[in-house]
Amino acid sequence: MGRTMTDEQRFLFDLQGYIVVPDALSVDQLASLNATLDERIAEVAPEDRTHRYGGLLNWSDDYRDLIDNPRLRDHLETIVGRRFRLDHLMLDVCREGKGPIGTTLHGSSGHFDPAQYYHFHKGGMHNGLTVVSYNLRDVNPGDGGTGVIPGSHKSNFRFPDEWRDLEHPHPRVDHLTGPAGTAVIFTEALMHGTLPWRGAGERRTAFYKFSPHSVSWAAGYFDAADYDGLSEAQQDVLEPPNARYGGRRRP
Amino acid sequence: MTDHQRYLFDLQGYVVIPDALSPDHVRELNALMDARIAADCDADMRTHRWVGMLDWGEPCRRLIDVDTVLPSIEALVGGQFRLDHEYADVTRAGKGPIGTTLHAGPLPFNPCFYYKCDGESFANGLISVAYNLRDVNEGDGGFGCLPGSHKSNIEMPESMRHLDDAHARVDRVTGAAGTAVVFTEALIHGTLPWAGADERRTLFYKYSPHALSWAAGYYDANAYDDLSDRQRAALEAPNARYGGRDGVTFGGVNNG
Repeated sequence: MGRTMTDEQRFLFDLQGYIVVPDALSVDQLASLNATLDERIAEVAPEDRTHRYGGLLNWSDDYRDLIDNPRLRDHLETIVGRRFRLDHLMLDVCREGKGPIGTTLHGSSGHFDPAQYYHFHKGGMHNGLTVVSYNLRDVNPGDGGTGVIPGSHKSNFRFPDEWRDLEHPHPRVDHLTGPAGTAVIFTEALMHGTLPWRGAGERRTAFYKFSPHSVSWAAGYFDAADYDGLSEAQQDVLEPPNARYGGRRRP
Repeated sequence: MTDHQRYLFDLQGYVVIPDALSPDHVRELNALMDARIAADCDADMRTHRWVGMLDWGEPCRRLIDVDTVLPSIEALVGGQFRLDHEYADVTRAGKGPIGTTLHAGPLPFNPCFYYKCDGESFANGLISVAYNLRDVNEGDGGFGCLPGSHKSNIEMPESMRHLDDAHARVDRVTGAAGTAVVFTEALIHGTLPWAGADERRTLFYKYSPHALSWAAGYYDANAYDDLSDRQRAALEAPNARYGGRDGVTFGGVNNG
């Protein structure tokens, strides 16, 4: 079930600041995640053009399973480190046009941010906040959705403001596509954003964001005791930020 | 070099400069190449490379320091840049003179090919200025590269090397006749098979910082009687450009 990050994926992540991983979710997982989301949409936002959901870990086992998706564990260990932690997560639905946070490229490219960085040292990569974005519906060429400036995680200059608006994307923008079940893993040091949605179906994207063990972007932390049935490995991934020293007090 | 060009060079490892050459200059250069093709190539020639065009005529020597490209050369390799070597390629179909393999790049470190940037200024080893003498359109082939690979920390997998079956990440760089593509040799790059209706005609002028040489041979500025002071300076052999160097040999051959 587990998969190894390939040499090509390592090269491409270093080169681009992101990789696209097909089939990160099984067909059954996908059906179940979408069925749960259907219920949430019906309860919370049936008419909204776009909506952002939080609190996904309370939704179902399938959403909790993505805390440590075995198909991506090796990738996260390589990119974030062996003791990665879940920093925060959310899910966006978009039916047309701009998503919940608009269409502006953002990221920590061109300056150092201790929560969001890309660094390579002695054969290994080190990242701050890193995103796993799951397509729960197909994203086809021309649909919109995630757009990035490949390589900008290593930029030495600030990104030009006049190229930020994804309503009129710069030719350098990569539009990341993939069928339902695809995961895009990217570092938040990369310039990224959301292209206006023009797809026939809904855009449904679940974002699971991970940090190194001692780093937090989010101001709130998880309490593993809030969720029944978590494995030890999953509880470890939910631990608040600290140096993971022996004998520490754990929640 | 504009802020946008600086950002893109740092991001990609190359920039495209449209209209770097005037239509008249392109015409003059094509006429010189027509003559060389007639003199040096068989009728069924598919591809050919000439090394050293400064003897072809003044239009080729004018390319040593073209005003439209000069600011980029100065920004990328320094005000005391030197012309390292130059050559011209023509391709009518298929592979170019050195095939279709991605090459160069920053790994392992090679003192001829490097890229550094501190957020204010650049430092490069060898850089290339490739001038299109004929249009290069979408799908034609020609210059291809892996954008951003000048900052790669991981060696490119061999499976990505061949441009006969180019990886999706490869940029296929196009531009009308007169366009210049300026790239660092720290960028992983190569030549896509040529499928254009017309010939591919490209002049490559390669520059190094003043103390560095990729080429084993150096220019003799005295071989040309129509060079400006700046052009003569660009043809000086590699050294630290210390004052009084004309008469000081340090026990070696004085190439000053």
